Amino acid sequence: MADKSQFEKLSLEFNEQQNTLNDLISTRSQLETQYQENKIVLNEFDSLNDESKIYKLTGPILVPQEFAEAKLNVTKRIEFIEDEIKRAETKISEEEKKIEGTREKLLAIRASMGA
Amino acid sequence: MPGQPTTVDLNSLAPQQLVDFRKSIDQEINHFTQSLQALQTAQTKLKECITSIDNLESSKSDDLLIPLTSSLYLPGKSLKKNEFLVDIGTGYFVEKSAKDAKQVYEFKINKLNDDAKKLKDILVQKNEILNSVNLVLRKKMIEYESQQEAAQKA
Repeated sequence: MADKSQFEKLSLEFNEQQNTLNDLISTRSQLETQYQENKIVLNEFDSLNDESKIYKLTGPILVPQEFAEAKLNVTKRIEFIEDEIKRAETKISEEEKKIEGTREKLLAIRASMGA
Repeated sequence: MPGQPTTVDLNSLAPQQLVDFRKSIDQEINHFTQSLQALQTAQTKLKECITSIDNLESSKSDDLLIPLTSSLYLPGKSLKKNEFLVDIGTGYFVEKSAKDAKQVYEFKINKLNDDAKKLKDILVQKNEILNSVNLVLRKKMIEYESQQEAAQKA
């Protein structure tokens, strides 16, 4: 009987870990969307110069902004997002390892229960 | 899914594995079809922007109706016809001439077109895989049934 309760505990754990992994993956894809969007904006800035009139949407109003400042902001944001992506990816691989471990334990218990 | 160099013979898989495999392909196809639709909606929106610029440029009068809500409008006049604020993403707007503004949108539309093409290729590939999985699965079912029949006769 000890095997059975442990088996249930492990499979709950397994499910939980899979949910965390799914959450992590959706965070990762959200970051990717932001990253791509910012890269498009930066591309656009590359074709502009100091003369261009740039506005930043803050709440419902457009605030004029200097070209250099806006470009710096976007560059910084891209760096920030890159770091976030790296963090998310390490988390994902850690979670995957955990899941693999739980799965092996589950299989071992199932084998011993079958015996 | 990245194409993995290891090939697996579909015939060597158990029926249950085939069914699972088919399920995951189905999900992928759904996902890609949705993405494709999203791309197409985005394209239509961008095209509307270009049409709006064209309309404004070609109209001779400066009169226009400004929407306050979708059903309430105010008569207004446009002061400048060659200056547009273009949303370039993440809350940044840039003042552009009609020509430049259209260029931005056309560039985006072309990019989306390329992406849509790639997606369509992937969809075609996935559908091919789905078809061959279905084929093998059907073959397995027929084999299984004939085996059962043989067993009953014996």
